Amino acid sequence: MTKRRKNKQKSWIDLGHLFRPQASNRYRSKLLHPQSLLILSFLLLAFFSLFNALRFFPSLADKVLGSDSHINVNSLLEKTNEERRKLGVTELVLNKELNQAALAKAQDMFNDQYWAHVAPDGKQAWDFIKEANYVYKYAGENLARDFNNSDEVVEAWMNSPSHYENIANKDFTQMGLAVVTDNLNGFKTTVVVQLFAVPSAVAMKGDNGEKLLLPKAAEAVKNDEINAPLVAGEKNINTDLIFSKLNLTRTFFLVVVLLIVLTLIYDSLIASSRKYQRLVGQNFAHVALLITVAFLLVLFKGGVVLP
Amino acid sequence: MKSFLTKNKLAYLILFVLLILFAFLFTQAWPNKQLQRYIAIIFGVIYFLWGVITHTKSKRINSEIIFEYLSISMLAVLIIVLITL
Repeated sequence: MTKRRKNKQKSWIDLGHLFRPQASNRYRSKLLHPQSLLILSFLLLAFFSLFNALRFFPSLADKVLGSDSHINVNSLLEKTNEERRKLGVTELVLNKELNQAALAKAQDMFNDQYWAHVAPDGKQAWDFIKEANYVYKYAGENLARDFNNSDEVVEAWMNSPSHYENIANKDFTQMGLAVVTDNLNGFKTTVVVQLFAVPSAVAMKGDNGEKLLLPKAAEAVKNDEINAPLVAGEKNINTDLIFSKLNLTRTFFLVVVLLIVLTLIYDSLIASSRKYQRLVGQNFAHVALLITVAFLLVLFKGGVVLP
Repeated sequence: MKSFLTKNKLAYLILFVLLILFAFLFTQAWPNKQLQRYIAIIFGVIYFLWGVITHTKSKRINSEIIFEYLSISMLAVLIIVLITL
């Protein structure tokens, strides 16, 4: 037998040891042994850690990772108003100054590398609104990041009580929106800023003359000062899709889960066809669990909203 | 495997109900990722206990099986926790 043939046979034997129940692996695929599953867990952890370490190498991260966000101001406005219509609340109109304020807030988060309602220097949404020359009586702010599309953003806000209060608030009449993609903490991130406001000229009394309540997520601040304006709109920096962080992680995890599921099925088929008598865990239950995990991975929606 | 399935119909029925409940709660918890992680951890523990109890009742248990359920549960929880980070 030639050396090459021997090597080929050895690799097949190793693969068999890993996947096929046989004497060498005590009639249970080696991949399904608890030790192998623990090693696999460490490999997943290592992959995830290495992947997150990419943030320390921005040039490499830019080559590998992209953003697959399809969020835009028009669809956000449309979707928000659709939700308000369902609630029987009047639609909001976009305001140029509020757009400028939202864009300034988004840019400030990227410039100072933070993700919060309050900037590290203490600056709040209301300060950006004032700087955009918008005179308001009450205002509110919703933030979101890492979503794939506008529908998901609004759906997430509707599922979060504090954000829902802003969207459903019947007293707000105007809105400002900004969608900005840039580098946040080492990863290309799409941030959405949604500002709500009532111009100060609008009477702040309800239909029965009662005082209007403030939304919880939005601290209301009385506006007295007027400052400098900013540019309006939507800003995307290099949004060419390579791999988004979520999709790359999800794909890798799915491959691992499917590999184990297929090994479990193969192990069961071989063991039952050869009538091996063995004392092992229930492959059928493991398959059911892992298929549920795979299902959740496929359906998993990314994105973060800031309470 | 078939005989184990038929002998443990109730156990499998419970498992499937729990899996559906898990998937439902997990998707409903979105966008609260912290809650999603708690749900995954709780379900991981439940799956491990399900495996141990089912095998104990059928008197087909040893330390290797306990470790198998532990490692499968850990792997499933790890995947869900990492994806929500």
